[in-house]
Amino acid sequence: MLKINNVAVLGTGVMGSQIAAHCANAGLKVFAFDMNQDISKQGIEKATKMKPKAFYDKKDISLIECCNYDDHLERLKECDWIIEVIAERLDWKKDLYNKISPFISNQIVTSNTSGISLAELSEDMDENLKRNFFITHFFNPPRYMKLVEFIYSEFNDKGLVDGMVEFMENRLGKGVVYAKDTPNFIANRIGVFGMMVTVNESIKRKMNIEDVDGLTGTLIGRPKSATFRTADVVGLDVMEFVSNTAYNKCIDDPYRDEYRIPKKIKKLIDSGNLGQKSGAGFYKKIEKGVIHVLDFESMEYRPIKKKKFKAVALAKEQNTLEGKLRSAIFCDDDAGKFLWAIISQSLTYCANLIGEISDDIVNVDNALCWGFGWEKGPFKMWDMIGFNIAVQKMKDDDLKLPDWLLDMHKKGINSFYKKEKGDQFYYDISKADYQKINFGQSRLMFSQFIEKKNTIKKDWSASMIDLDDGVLGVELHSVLKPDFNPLDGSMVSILESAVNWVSENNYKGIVISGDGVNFSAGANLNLILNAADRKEWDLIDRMTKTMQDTFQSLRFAPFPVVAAPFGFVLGGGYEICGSCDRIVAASESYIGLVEVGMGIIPGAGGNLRMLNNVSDNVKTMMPGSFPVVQKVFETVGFGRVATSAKEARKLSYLRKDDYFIMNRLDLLYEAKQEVLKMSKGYSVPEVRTFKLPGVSGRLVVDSTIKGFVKSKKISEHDAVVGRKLAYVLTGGDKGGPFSPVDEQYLLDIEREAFISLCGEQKTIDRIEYFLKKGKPLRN
Amino acid sequence: MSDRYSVIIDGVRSPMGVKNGNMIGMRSDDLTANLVKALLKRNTSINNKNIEDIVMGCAFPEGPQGMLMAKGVAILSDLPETTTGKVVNRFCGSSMDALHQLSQAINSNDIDCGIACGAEDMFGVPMGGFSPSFHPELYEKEFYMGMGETAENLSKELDISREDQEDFAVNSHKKALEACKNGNFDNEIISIKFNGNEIKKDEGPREPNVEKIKSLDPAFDSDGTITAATASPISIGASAILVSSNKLAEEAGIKSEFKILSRAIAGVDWTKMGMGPLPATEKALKKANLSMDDIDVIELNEAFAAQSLYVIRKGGWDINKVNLNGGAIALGHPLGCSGSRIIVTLMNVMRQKDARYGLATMCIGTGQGIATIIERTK
Repeated sequence: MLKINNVAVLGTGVMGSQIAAHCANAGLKVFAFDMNQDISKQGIEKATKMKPKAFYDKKDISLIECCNYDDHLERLKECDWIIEVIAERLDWKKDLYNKISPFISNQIVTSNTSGISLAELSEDMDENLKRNFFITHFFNPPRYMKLVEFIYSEFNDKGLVDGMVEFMENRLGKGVVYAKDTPNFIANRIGVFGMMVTVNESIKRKMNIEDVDGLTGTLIGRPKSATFRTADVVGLDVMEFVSNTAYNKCIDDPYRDEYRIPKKIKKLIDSGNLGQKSGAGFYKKIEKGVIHVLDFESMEYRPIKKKKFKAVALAKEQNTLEGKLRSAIFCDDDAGKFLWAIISQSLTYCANLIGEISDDIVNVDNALCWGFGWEKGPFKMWDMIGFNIAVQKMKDDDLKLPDWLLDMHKKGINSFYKKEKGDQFYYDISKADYQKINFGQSRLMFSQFIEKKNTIKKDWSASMIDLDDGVLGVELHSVLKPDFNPLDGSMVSILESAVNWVSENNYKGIVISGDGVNFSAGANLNLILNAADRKEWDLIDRMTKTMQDTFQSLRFAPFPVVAAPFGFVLGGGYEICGSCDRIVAASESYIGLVEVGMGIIPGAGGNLRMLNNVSDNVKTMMPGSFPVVQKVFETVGFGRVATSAKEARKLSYLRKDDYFIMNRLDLLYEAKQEVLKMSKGYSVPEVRTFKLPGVSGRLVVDSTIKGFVKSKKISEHDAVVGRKLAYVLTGGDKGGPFSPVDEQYLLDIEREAFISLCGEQKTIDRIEYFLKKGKPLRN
Repeated sequence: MSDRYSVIIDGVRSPMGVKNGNMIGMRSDDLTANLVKALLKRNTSINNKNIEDIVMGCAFPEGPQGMLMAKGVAILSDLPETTTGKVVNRFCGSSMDALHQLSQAINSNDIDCGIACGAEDMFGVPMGGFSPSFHPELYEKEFYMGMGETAENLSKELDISREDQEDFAVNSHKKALEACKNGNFDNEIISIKFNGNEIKKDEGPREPNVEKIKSLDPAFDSDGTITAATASPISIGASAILVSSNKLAEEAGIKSEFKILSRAIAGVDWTKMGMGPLPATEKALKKANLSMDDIDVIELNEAFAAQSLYVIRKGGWDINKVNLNGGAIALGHPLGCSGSRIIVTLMNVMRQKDARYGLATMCIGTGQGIATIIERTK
């Protein structure tokens, strides 16, 4: 494996500083270069203030040393990888390469260009540098966008490139796509084309901007910001620049004219409406909460009014992307026709570029998913729509399709991808046949095991799946909302069955995880609301008791249970993880006990877990020490959500032996390995007792709460919730510095407090409001 | 008064450090030892062996301020092992009380000479201590009421407007800046070196940004008048005073300038603790056989602008005699340090104004007041 510990980042602009930050996230030592140290310091300083956050933990800035090109080039000799991220000017880049060339022996040097070709960049390089030089193109924001495009040439040693791929995937958690040395490479070429086609069709078909955004966002598996809102965020000037680049460089592209900026948009740009940064673009913020939209007809801003389309109504009845796509694009109303037009043109554009920008469809699909946030890449999408029906319709529309695809069609092959016995295959155009996709041993997914018929028990929202080697997997897959995976009875009952099953079958342990985007965003609030509305306190009591008991059984099972969380891990989602023996988290995990926002407190052991975790961190000989309670109160009482797994450790959501990995795709594999490791000589944890401060500590919290209410930092209802939380955390009526309480007592008073809060009207108002509006109510 | 009494030979203090300042991280014991050494270095006629006791005030004597810090300070100051030490806690009045106790011991002929001092690092040891624990009955009686709330109660009683408080705070900063510029603190501040920095002056005072001050939200009560700008800031600092009997001073050939005339403490309603200086001052005046008109200059600890204005208005004090070099709102109020700090400042103000009688007084959380009257003899 390639040894990379020290990295030099040349250029500390928006991308450079964030790449430096992400290298620091990975624990690498970074030298950040710019014209002078003040500029590089400012650049890195800016990265600490970015939203979403560029750093996992601001303190990691200490891993970055700011340097300048005049005094510190000697430091490059200490580096293993040097990435150039300066402005997109060929002459400047060449100058810089000349300057650093004397300091390069075996270091890898890459450029983060998005538009200049490798051939141009390396044309004047000396042989040594040329051998070690290629393009690694990150996407903004680099911490969050998985994609890195690799463009290399025959001058590079393949071993070196492979080593870098491994580094990118394992250390930086990125996904690498191989692109050919063509203008805008893969993701931008296709992504920008898709955007321009959408814009052009909108104008041509007189579609309103807000309607187009409603159609081209999550409905078809694209980011929520869809088309025009995305353009506003990116900046219309940037969009113009990228389109012009494509237009000027893709001289042989038959669809080149799509890249011409329409006159109406040119006018908008020339009048200084560049999007979010100038206050107005396709949308204009009038005042807080009031946004107007541009009307293409009058070129004036007016209030947003979304039209109702049959295509949308039909799609919304569907649960899966496949269902949504099919019902929308084949609908015969304006929206359906519009969607078909833009999607069919995009897909044919992609098909015609295979061979030119990439050798295969897999790289193209990955590029769009990882770089543009598409849920499915173009060819996967095509399969979802239906290969044959789409091809037929494209032919009817006189869209030009490449020979290889017509050939496929003729041979009766009707999908780009297929699955067989747990393996995935893609259609390889060079071989005119399917090829197996090789994921590498560390890329495990539940779906692979399901394909292999390893499912032991399947329920609505969770399944027990044999992960082989004596490890049982529990996959969470909410039937109602698979994207957020709200915790429900089905999940709890599968967890319960899993514990029993592993004991009965002498398995080694359990991994709890999922294949989706989020581990679990918390309890199913609808269930709580319905029960509370009907005043079924016994039902709520039973539900929470079952959860508490099940989670305790995970903790005290005679075998290791490992949670592998990722994405949102909120409320009950964390309560599952917290009860496990070990947490192996994806670095991008957003963990938090956020119940207070809903007017409740954790009810399934969350308070117990936090007292447990913090007592381990805050070592004290003092019986009933207040700081433990204070720390937990500050985290749970304010519903603090960690913005990375690293921060989750600081907030004590993660414990000493829990850890995180950079690449989400390796998560299931890592967790499984952890079970195998822990199962050797595993011993069951002891039931704990806690010496808590009791009433004397509770009054200290109470006095703080009073002060907060008085100064209106919190509401009266916040105070009601806070007092209940303080009651539980300080050990209820029984707890005190010299009267320890056990786990079950803490669970009992937690449940009691939870139920009583469910009976508060203001709590019900909060939950109702949240379910309706998707944001918390401050009452 | 008997012919044996206590005299103050000299007094010094550290710069007062505030949030994000250069003093964060310094230990209270080191800070104080630095002062004790400097104090003895500039008063060569008093021998180290003369220092019989270190009486040290501290409001939260735990953690780094625990373990009987006063004796630790004696050792860190290279005083002989015969020097003893004790820590006094009377919250904000701690180090003024330390001076009182030391002078009582001298007056009663128990000892001849000692050092009264005080220190607080409010960043290292939080207000309330590391593990607060409230008594239910006292909680019921609002004994633990926050200091800000007690000050709001005073401002309500006398209808002290937010504008008046802000003017008072702005003045505190202006006076402190002016005093610093004119070198009025030169005799009292002993600079310190820490983390490669030399800190020579107070970190708190700054040119007031009136617009910003006016924009602040009330800090304790959304309907109240007190903001962060009209309260004394969290801070770190230490102060130390060399005290002896008049007899010892005479023998050592010191022409002692300051005589401790009277000491007093008084209890008040703890939900209005800020009024404490009024009855304490009354007692002290009576004991010294003086009236308020006799007092030339006053150091009134500025816990809050509202609290200071309450005392000044209710007591009918002449505001032009109060805190001539600024006060705690500008400088900071490191709880255990402030009592001896205002005595040190008072002595220098008395020299600068050629005053005869000086009063130092302060309020104390839990509902108390403390006061000291000193006389300058030329």
